Amino acid sequence: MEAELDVFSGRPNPRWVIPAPESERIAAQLAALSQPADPPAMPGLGFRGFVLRSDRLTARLFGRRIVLSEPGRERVFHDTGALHADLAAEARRRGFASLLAAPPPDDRP
Amino acid sequence: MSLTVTLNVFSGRPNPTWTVPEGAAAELSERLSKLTSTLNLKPAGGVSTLGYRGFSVRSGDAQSATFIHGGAVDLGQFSPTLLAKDREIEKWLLSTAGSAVPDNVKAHVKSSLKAKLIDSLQTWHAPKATCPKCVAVDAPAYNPGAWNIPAVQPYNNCYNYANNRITNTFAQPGRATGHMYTQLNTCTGAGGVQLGAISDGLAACANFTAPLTVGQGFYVALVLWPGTDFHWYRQDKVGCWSHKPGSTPVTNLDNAGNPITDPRTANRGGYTTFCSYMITKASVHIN
Repeated sequence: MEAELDVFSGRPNPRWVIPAPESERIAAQLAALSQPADPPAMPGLGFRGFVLRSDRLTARLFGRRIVLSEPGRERVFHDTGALHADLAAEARRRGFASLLAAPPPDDRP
Repeated sequence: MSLTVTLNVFSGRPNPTWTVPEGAAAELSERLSKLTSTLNLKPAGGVSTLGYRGFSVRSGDAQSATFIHGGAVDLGQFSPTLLAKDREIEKWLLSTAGSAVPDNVKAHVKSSLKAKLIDSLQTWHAPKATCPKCVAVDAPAYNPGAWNIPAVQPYNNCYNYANNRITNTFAQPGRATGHMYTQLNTCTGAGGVQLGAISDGLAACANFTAPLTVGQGFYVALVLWPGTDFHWYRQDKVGCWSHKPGSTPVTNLDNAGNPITDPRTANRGGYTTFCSYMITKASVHIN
């Protein structure tokens, strides 16, 4: 599983590999998502959350939402924030703290 | 690149899926590039409907799919929906099915394609703005449909878009000509992004008001997120400016959601340093 910190416009975004068993734990978390949500507002310049990629799906974490893209379908779920926090912590460990911004408040019904 | 097409039509049986061979992705891209209307809604459902529910299209080994139904082309959560008023995309996809779709099912889909567009679809209107006059004859048209597609969007950045060049290399200023930037603190200090762009063939200028005739190029602008990143804007034929933040979709709005009449005064988020207006033209080489 690959993680991407989506923040840049010109430069390629920072990316890192998430090895097993962590990748399997995250895959299980994504598979367990159950609370549908409205799509997040379209991001612009600056921090746009995280993107996770595996063989089976792509997950975008932004605006307290997780957008799961799989072959043939795309679904949006509420994000409790736990996975985003884990990814942010890893990004800080890798020296990307200055690139992060707090997710916007969840003001959607 | 091949396309995998799925016709969403059955309830109990697996939906028909077929592969359209090499060149199909290019043809789909070309057809999509001709669509200029966008929507703020997504296609109606793959759920709660029996019978024809549109097509899902996946390019090569891409993980995300494009959904087409009711004339609406959904390129993904972060892309505007394109509108194919004559259902031409769906008609073309059906024509590629061959024996993968039984004749009676084809007849059902053709009948469905005669129906009028979904009533709830609305045309998206950009916030009103008075665009400045564009005095560059070679300025490109604002056509996000050519960029916001799976085969292009992820692989081309702001520099690609500003120069109107799809290279699929996430182009970096100066890399094509052996002088890639090495620092992001200053625009024109040693190793600066602006110098990299000049190496590629762009030229700095004071403003975007001097007329540029055929062959003289069009106006772009470079900004910096100091010490961190660079970003580019371009002036389109309509006179207002547009940009492509990284691998995200092309947009003609700034970070506050307003039309961009001048990138120097637009809301640019963390890209606080305005380096320069510049001119790009056909002889520029980027990679």
